[in-house]
Amino acid sequence: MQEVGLVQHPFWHNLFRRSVTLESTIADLWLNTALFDRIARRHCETMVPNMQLRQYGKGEVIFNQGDLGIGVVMILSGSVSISSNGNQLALLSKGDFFGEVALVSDEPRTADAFADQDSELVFFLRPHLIELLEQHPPIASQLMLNLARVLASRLRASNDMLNRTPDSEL
Amino acid sequence: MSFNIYQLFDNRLLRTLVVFGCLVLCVWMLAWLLKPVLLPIIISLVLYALFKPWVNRMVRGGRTRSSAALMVLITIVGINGSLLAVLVPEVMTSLSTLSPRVQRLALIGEDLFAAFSSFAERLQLPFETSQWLTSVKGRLVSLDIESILASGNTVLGVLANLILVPFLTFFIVRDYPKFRNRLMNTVPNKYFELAWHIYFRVIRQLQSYVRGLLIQLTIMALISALGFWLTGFSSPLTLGILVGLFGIIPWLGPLLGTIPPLLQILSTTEPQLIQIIYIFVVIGIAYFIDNMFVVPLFIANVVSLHPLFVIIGVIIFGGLFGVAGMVLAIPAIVVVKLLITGLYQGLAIQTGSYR
Repeated sequence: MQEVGLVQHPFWHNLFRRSVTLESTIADLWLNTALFDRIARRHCETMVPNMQLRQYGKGEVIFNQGDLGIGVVMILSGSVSISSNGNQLALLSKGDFFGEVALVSDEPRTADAFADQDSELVFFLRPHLIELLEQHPPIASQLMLNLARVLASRLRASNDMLNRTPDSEL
Repeated sequence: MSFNIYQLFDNRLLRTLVVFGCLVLCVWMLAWLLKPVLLPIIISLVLYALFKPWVNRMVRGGRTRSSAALMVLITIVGINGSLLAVLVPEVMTSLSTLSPRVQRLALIGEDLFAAFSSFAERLQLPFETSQWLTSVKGRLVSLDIESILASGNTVLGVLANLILVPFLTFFIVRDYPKFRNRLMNTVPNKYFELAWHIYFRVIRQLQSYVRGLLIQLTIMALISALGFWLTGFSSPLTLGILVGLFGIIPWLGPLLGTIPPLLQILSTTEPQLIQIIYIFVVIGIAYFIDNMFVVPLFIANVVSLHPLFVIIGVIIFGGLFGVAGMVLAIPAIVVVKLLITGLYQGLAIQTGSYR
C-alpha cells in the first residue's frame, strides 16, 4: 500500500535527477543573488570550481577596514557581521554576499567583517572574473552589468540613509 | 625590563622582510628539489604565458581546456620538428664550415699569444702565458663539430627537453588553474586575500613581460637576419637568430651578438674592414629600432625599472647564477619589487585575527 504524501517516482527518475553536490548548492545560492541575475545555471556551474571555499571560526576576522580586497564573498553557512568604526552595519546569513567592490577595484576594504558563528564562505575573486572576461566575454559582461546594478542600489541606499539623517547628526 | 620577540614584528618593514625572506627560502628549496627538471619547467611556464591568449580564444570558441591544451601540444611538437628539420642542417653546415676556420683562428691566436709571451718575458712581467695559451686553445678546439657531437650528454639532454617540454606544457595549460587554486587554498585565512592580490599582480606583469620579450627578440632576429643577408654574410638566418637569442641577456646582448659574425669574418682568408663595420651597423640598426619602437611599445609599460637597478641586478644575478642569472635578472627584479611592495602594503594593518 502506498503511503499518503510520499510521491512514488519511476526507477529511471534517479538516472536523470541532478545530484545535490556542494558545487550545485553553491551555484544555487549564487543564482539567487542579484549578482548572478540572468546568468544560466550551466555557466554558473563552470565558474564554481574556480571559487575558493574557506572556513572561519566564530569571531575570526574575514577582513579589516583598509585591507586589500580581491573579491566578493558569499555565505554558504553561518553568519557574518559587517561593522565600521565599531558600529554594526549588518548581520548577514546564508546566501548573502558582501565585499563586491573589490571585484572591480584595487581600493582597500571599506568595512570590517568577522564570522559571527562558525562559517563557510565562498570567494569569487577578481583574477577569476578577468579570466572569465578573457574566455567568456558575454557572461562576464552580464556579471559586470549586474555588479554595476548592485553597486548603484547600494549607493542609492547610502544616499537615502544620509538624506534621512538629521543635519545635527552629520 | 623583559624583551618580547613578538614586539619585533610590530615593525612593518621588518615583518615584510621576514615574510619575504621565508618566501625566498621556500622558492629556493623548491628550485633545489626540482633542479633536474627546472629548465623544462621554466620553459613550459614561459610557453604557457605565450600560448595563454590563444588558449583563451579556443575556450571562448567552445573548446574544452583539454582540447585547447592538446592543440598547444601539437603546435609545439610541430614547431620542434620544423626547427629540427630546417635549422639543424643549417647550423651543422655553418659549424662544419666554421670548424676549419676556428682551427685557423686558433693558429692566429697561438701566434699572437707566442708574441705576447716573448714580449712579457722580455719585460719580465709576472704572467704565466703558457697556461693561458693552453686554456684558450682548449676552448677553441672544443668548438670543433666533432667535439660538440661527441658530448653525448648535452645532445641527450637537449633531446630529453625537446620531448619533455611539450608534455609539461600540455599539463600546465590544462591543469594550471586547478594547481594554483589548490596551492592558494593552503594559505591561512588572514593572508588569503593578500596572497591572491600579490599573485595576481606578479603573474600579470610576468606574462606581459614574457610576451613582450618574445616579440622584441623575434623582431631583432628578423632585422639582423635581413641586414646580414643584404650585406652578403653567409648563413644570415643563423646569425640573426643568434643576435635575437643573445638579446635575452640585458646590456651584454648586443656585444655578444657581434661575436658570431665577427668570427665568420676573421676566419676568412682576407678579412675586410668594411664587413666588420657592416656587423656593427646591422646590430646597431637592430638595437636602435628595438630601443626606439619595440621596447616602448611592448616592454616599457610592463617593466618600469630604473636602468641603474637593472644594471646592478644583472651584475648581481650574473655573479650568482652565471648567464641564466643574467637572463632571469629583470623578471626576478620585477617579482622582488612587487612582492616587497605588496607585502609592505598588505601587512600594514596591526589588528588581530580574532574578535
